[in-house]
Amino acid sequence: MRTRSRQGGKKVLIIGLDGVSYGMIAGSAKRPSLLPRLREFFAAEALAPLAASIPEISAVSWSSFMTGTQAGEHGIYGFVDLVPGSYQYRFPDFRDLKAEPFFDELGARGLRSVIINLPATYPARPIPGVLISGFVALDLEKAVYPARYLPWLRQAGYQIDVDAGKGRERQAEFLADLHCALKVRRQVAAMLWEREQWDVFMFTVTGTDRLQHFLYDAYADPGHALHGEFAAFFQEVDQAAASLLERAEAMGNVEVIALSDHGFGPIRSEVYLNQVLAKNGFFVRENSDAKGLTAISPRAKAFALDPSRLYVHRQGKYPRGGVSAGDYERVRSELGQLFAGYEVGSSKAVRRVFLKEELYSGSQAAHAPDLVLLSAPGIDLKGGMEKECQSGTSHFTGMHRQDNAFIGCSRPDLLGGTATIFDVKKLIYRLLAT
Amino acid sequence: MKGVTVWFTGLPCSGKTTLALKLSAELKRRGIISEDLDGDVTRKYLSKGLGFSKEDRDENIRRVGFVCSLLTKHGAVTTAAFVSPYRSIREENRKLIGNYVEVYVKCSLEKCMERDVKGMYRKAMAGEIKNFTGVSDPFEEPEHPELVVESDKETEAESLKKILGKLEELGYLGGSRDIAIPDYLRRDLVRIMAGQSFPDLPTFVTHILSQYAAQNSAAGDLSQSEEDAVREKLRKLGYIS
Repeated sequence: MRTRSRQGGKKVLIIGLDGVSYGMIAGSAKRPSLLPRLREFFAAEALAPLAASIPEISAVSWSSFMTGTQAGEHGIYGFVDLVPGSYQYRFPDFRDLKAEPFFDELGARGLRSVIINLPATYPARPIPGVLISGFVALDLEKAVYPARYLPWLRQAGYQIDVDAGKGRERQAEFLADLHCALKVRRQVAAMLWEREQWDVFMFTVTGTDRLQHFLYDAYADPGHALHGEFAAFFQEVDQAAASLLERAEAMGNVEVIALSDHGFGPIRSEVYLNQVLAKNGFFVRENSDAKGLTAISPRAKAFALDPSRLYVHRQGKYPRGGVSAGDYERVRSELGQLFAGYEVGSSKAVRRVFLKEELYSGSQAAHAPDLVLLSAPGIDLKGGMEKECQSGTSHFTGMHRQDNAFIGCSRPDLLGGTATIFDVKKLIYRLLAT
Repeated sequence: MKGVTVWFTGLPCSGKTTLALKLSAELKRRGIISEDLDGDVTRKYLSKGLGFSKEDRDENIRRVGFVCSLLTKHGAVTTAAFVSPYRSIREENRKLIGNYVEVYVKCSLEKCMERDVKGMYRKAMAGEIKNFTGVSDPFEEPEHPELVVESDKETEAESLKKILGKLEELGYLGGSRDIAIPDYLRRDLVRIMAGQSFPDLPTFVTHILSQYAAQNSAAGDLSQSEEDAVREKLRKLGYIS
């Protein structure tokens, strides 16, 4: 096989591990690392906790990763949003991203990127290099640029994602699907590594997130029937990472970043914010049989969108909004007080209530939620529009955490200052400049 | 881009493979993947067992030409870097392949010998290698190549520029000469380019087109069925409730 002609300059390999917590890779005396080869690659000082975006969900956090900005600039506040001036839900995607991702900026400098399975990049559009979109991609045909790779991906059996529906009841099948999807993704990565000329190569695993949503209890409990299966999937992820690291080492001019977009932890309870709002008189619908947000009453002062976003039902902003500009701060303050003191099982459900101006600034800040809640560990905040109680449990056993994502870097001397997901883009640029 | 074979011919160590690789890399940067053939590959997989007599050399080049003709017929861009010293077999391939661009990589014997890190010329002159082109076997210069590049007088970049120019001139690479740029786009180009530095025009144009594609696609929203599919995916993971 002909070798590529690579001239000058460093290249960067990025391994994205969706939802992998710092503890899972770093390990502890009680619980060894689930990713020992990756752990071994990064010396202790080259591995650090990373703060995710708020809210700590992939669409927001990966958008922040790729643009180096918070949602006030990139405009992605969640998986779901409202059509402006209405109560209709819409699902923001890559076309809604308002800040420039690193691969576009690098393209302007003549550098090429290969991006595989990065969430929040659907539908794929032309980039300087190759893009295979990740979650929530629907149709492979719209998830691949350039299109010439589409037949090959189809032939290889490439899957954008597994059917998460199996995670609830058909877990053996779910695990098999995760392995299968990862296996093909590794093959695709190996092919693109060889075939493409690139300066940044990014390979993202999302199965790590899927598994933890449904089987975090299997990780936490060594006696769980699927404890070994859980570890086996991470072992395969570790192997995938290790084979990329070997390729990088063989090339000799590749620096490495590994990171997650958020951490994970066990769920103690789910809290349904719209039910809490309803119980406390903030959320009211036209009649008790009505569903969804379209039946919101003019008397409603606030509503919530998944996962932890609160909106004041303002006059002029929403068709039936009843809160005047003069009352806005008062209502917002009341909401803050309500959730700051809200308890589940005699412990606080919310670690911190953020005002929008504390988190967001920039051209898209006008679309920001008025308040965002950062949950206490073990409390999974949800909109819960159709729930009948304020809290409860479900088949999900794991939940995202904002404070325990991780980052590893082959250059620990450059890692300093990379404390949040917003800092990673700068780190990529620093590594390319070495 | 329509199928074409770019055939590099010239003395050993004249720079054929280097230029073919440069061309391939530039095409790849423009989003065009090429199939690259050279002696090391074909002698191993296609013509194993053939020697370096005139008959065997002709047979080797004939086989390569056949592969090129198939690739070209199916729309592939192929670079072929071979000494291919004999005029008659090159002409035979030209007819067989059709979309054929012959690049004569001209280089003085002295310069080729200077570049010969493997010492093949030295061995040929000592009689250790038989039928070595330029020493003990003739190189029949092309009479009507599409292009001559002089690798002992030009830089690689200059030669590459000439090759790309020829491919554009012959209609194998899309040029922009006939595209009228609308005023609004011209204004935007000036605005966007101001204060930014781009290494070259193709990089700049690719960047601009990517931005336009992003802006244009922003106008589209998901269809109802796509929305339903997204909602279902999100619900299964508990991202919406």
